[in-house]
Amino acid sequence: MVEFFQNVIAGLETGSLYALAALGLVLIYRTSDVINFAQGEMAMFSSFIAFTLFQQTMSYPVAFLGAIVFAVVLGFLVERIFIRPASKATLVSKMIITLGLIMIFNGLASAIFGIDMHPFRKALTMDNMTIGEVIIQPNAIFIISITLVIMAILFYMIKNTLMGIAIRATAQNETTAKLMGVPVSKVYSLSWIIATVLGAIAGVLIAPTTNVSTTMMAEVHLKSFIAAVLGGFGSFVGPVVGGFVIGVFDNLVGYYISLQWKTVIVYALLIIILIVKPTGLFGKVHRKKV
Amino acid sequence: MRNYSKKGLSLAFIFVLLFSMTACSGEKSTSGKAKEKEKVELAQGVTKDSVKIGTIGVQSGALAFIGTPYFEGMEAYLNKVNDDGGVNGRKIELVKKDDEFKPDKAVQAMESLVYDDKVFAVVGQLGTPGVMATESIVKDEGIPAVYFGSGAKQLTKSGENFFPVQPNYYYEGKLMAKYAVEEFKAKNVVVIYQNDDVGRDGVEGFAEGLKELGKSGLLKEEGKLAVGAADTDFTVPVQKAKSLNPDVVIVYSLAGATTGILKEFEKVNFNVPMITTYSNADASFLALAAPGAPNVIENLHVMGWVDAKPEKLKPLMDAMAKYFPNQKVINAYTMAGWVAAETFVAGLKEAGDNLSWEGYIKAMNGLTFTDGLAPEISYVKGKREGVTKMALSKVTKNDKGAFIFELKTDYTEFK
Repeated sequence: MVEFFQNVIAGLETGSLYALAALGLVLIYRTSDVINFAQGEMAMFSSFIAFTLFQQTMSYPVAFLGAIVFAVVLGFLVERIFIRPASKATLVSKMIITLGLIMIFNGLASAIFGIDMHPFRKALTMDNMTIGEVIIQPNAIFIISITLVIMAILFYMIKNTLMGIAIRATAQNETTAKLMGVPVSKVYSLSWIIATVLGAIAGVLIAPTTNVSTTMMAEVHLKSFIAAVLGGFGSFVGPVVGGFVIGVFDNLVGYYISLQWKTVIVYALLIIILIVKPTGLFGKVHRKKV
Repeated sequence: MRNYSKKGLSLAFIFVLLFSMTACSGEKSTSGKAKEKEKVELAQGVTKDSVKIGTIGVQSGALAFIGTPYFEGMEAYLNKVNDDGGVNGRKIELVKKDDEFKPDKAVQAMESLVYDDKVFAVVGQLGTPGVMATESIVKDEGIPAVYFGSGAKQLTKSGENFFPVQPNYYYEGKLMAKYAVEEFKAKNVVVIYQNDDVGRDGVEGFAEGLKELGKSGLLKEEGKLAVGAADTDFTVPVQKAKSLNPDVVIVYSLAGATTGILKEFEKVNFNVPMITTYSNADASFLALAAPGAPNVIENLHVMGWVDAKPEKLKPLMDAMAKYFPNQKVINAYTMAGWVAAETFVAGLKEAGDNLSWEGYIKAMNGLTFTDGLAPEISYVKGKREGVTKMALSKVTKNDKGAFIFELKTDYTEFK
């Protein structure tokens, strides 16, 4: 039973990071129909900023907040410079732009920060707690908590604020939203900013595990994408649940069934789920009425 | 009349064509003999005063941190040899090709080196994917290939013109088994391995080593735990390892995964002696892994095949200071590149002026090289295992509180 809880807690910790990154993907997709393939690379870049700031100041809060401020600027600039000028382009073209951004951010990061891996400290470095025989890292609790808090704020904002209504309206129908006076361009900017910040937080929080490097987000980005697909790209709750499911399921299958075959088993099951429910666990089928 | 003239013209044309072909073949048969004679004496890439060699490896992208110091080490040695007058009056010219750690680019690079640049030998090709992808070209052409930045065991059987230096992971796994049994007196071993060619060769070698030592029972099937190189969560393998209560854990993975595994050991306070591959025997690995696992890292032992005593490293350090004065990173990759060049040059000296491919291969087949950074490299009697003598070092803290590797055993072979 100790092993079960140990695996579940670790799964929730990594799953919450997949959820954060997945939420960023879905936010952009819902508002602009674009899947941002560069989300992982943008998060990596923000993590390098956090690492650099930490080296300069030795203050974790400064590094963390610095990465968030940078992500705000980065998200804004990417939308204004790369995405908005291509607003009339096809969706495929926009997605290819985000593929191009992968190369740009990876190349820039290599050129500016170098190609070495760097260790990065945890948010909380205090001693582990033991409940029964289960070892719990305060940092794991912090990661799960901060993820839940961020998601709660985001959900509240989307449901109850004017900006949230604007985001939902743009997500539902851009033209109607425009006609109703919704500042669609601002909604796009805001979505990119929020998504980039979510990615940056995921990057900074996963960095102590993966180390800071140009390849640090590869696995997280892939899993967040799968979390979004599993939960449903059409829902804001789905990717969060998808992230947690993948994190926990990965560990339980690895421990109780087969470590070597866990990836195959987990993703085969996910494919089966998607065959049964193609829009994801929380996705809805939108039928056009004639 | 017109037909006759056309026929005549055609016959004349065929005659001229046949004549010119005969003339050409005649020319080939007379001056060709001299050229053939020259070919026997000097292979492609060799002139009176130079030997052109080629190398392939990652020099850009995410893995350039491996290739950059590696090729600098190689160039530092070759520059030093050239500045000292070369080998038998010939300066060594190095042609470098970047494969970005991609097998398809490695194939293009190898074709370019062999057919366009016409190099005499391929020295120090770096990276298992590229080495494996180009193996057939090297085999078919018969060009001497010295040192592979790869631990693939297949290279030991690739052919007469292949001269591996770096120990292969299969052999290293066998030697790890010897250390687990003889040094640690292990009764129960768990292997956490990277689920790719590196880890699989290692775990196979370890199992074979135990078998040859008559200790197969030490490693049970459930004690073989696979991890992915890009995994971000190592809870499961470490929990499983802990539940099996081993007295030694073999960590057969490269720096990224090993760092994650050590952090998980630290998290659950799993204190047990560990042995890891020579690929992690570098200060850059300690700098990466130690902050996340400051306590359990002192349980870590690493295999090593390069004799990194200060007096042995002095020529390398001096050459690096001279030729790459701005380079602050001198690590295991630099040493590996140095050894690659050192081994090739040892063969070149042995071959003397007989610089045909056959001549070089013959010379290498008689080589037992003990003057370099590696303890011993021998290709006598068709041996192709590369370096077989390895030692075990333990991670420990020095007087200043920094983590270092401390040599614990002599350099030994698996026998």
